[in-house]
Amino acid sequence: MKTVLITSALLTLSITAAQSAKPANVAFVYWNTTTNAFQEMALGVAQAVKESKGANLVSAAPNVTNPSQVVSMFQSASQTSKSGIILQALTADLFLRPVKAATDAGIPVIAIDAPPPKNAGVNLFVSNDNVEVGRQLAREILKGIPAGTKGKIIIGNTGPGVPPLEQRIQGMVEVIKQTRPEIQILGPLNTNGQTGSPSDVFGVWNGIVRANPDALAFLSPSNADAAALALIERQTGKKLLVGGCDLEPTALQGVKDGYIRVLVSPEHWLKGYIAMKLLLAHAQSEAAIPSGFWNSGSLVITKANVDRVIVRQKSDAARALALVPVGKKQLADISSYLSK
Amino acid sequence: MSQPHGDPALPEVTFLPAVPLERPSPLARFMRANEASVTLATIGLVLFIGVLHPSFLQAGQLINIVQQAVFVAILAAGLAFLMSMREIDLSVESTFALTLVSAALLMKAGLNPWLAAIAALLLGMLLGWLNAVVVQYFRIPSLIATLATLSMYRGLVFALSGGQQVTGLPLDHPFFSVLSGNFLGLPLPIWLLAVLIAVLSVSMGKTPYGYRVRQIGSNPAAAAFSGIPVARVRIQSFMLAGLLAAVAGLLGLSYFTSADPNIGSGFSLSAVAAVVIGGTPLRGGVATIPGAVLGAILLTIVTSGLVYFNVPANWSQFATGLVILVAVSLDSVVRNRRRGNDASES
Repeated sequence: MKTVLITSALLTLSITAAQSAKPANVAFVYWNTTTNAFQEMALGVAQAVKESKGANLVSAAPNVTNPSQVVSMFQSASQTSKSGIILQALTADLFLRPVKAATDAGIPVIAIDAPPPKNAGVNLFVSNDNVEVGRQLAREILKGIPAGTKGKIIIGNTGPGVPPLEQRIQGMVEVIKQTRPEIQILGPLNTNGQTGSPSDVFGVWNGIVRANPDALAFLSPSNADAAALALIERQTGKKLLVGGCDLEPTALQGVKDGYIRVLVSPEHWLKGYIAMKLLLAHAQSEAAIPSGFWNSGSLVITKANVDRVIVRQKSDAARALALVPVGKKQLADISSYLSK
Repeated sequence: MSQPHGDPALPEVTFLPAVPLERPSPLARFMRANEASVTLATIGLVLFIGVLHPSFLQAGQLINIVQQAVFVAILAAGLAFLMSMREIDLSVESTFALTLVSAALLMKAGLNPWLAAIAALLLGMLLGWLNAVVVQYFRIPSLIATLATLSMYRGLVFALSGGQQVTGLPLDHPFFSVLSGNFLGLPLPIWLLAVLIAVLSVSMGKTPYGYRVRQIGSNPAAAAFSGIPVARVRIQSFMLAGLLAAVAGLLGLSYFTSADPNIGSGFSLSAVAAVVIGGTPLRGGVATIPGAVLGAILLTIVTSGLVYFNVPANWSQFATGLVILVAVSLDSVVRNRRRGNDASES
């Protein structure tokens, strides 16, 4: 406990001192530029760099999902950003060789959002408990279904096999089965369509809703689904019980307008911010990068707090105003967030 | 002049002393080559980035670029044969993924990785054969047929893998250590690529098969009329493209150590772009394997260069497309100039 307190204090001092510390070339390599979740992480990373004088950031990602291009970008970042790299890669195993090559060369790598490749020298993983995200979503949705009601809940997923999404589904299913065993779970169904574009996702959900007019609720761990369901409600006038994840602007508006009961935000901005603050503290002040899993938490969004979140999401500055204090609080209290 | 009966009199002919033909210089010969533009573009881009960011020229970085380009380069080499006979195969990226995932699943099920690799190679040839059958016997244009098989084969990837990444492979087996190991300081895939360039170039330029491919591309009707078995050559070329996609898939599996169902997305368009950038004209009749490979390397240089110049991530696709457009335009300008010079000389 004493060691953790001292480490927290040193980290806080280092992070503060980094504002006038030596130059650092760092990079953030991520999955694609078009998914809201990854954009939030990039913004959090950028804010952390902005707060540090002398830090140069390379932020690289393909515009569409292209794992081999991300690998190529990571390898280039290993040349340009010797002070360290934050990696967000949904299929980490593809990166085993390039990440190991980077860490063997002394370049620190921190993984966020999805687990790093095993035995690649990555010691810190910053994310949220995605199983708990799923549990939170299910608990909130079940509040809208009277006790003893029989029927089915449909789960859709635009990213089958993606570890964070699969974990959220695991949490949803766990809570539904434990607390409402009489409710049947249908899915997870693949709601990606041909390309995963909003129109494709909308088309798939349209079909699912038509085929299951008596479903009790519609849930999804991925970002585009809740917005698609809200649009279906707007267009058809049919009231649905909807829960989703992430902070798509149209989904937030859907919560405000009553089309979506709950969104759970994995607070991606915080992941990027915290990971980069730790990396820069190491690069500029030689603070040790902690080892383990850093749980940066999540946020349940309902009609009660959606207005605050919408304001927060309006701009980079608004995000920073709301979330920097949250990030700094976590950084000052490692023991509450870091587990081995 | 009156002649007696017999051979007609020949007119008097004065023979001028022989004038030795001027042999073009190596540079002139190079500039006439189909791969000239892409070679100049590649060297130019490397130097441009290297001058502004010297760390780009480090051996490790350049080797990484070529290593990453290997997969698309091998696909492009196979496509060059098809495109020179006015065909196309958009399904190569799905064949790449399906053979990669299939091999991974077989390995995970306990099959010896080398046997799984052989199975994947056979699968690649089968997928190519299926493309050829659809094109040849159902008379569907290859663009449409392979657009359909692009989806079908990718769909099989998701179906077989359950949409999940295939992990837990025997990484200590020589398949993974040898195929992704180094030989004389270079990764083995790069050596394999060099061997493939040599073999395929000889095949295209010096073998009856290559001759037939080019003749069919030049004038399909004339080729058929002259007795070239067009259907058989078409089937062989599609099977070759499928086989090379499987080779790329196996190298990909060895390097990435797992099989992701999304792997290879976008490779088909990159491979087609690489072939065209490399100097193989869409009208057919001629192909350059080294050009196609260089085209793939050029595209990978662009991806890496974006990181060095810190191009905002949302502009990366625009930047890549712009470079492709410039490279193809440069090739077109050089060709038009060459045609103009040839016309004026004759």
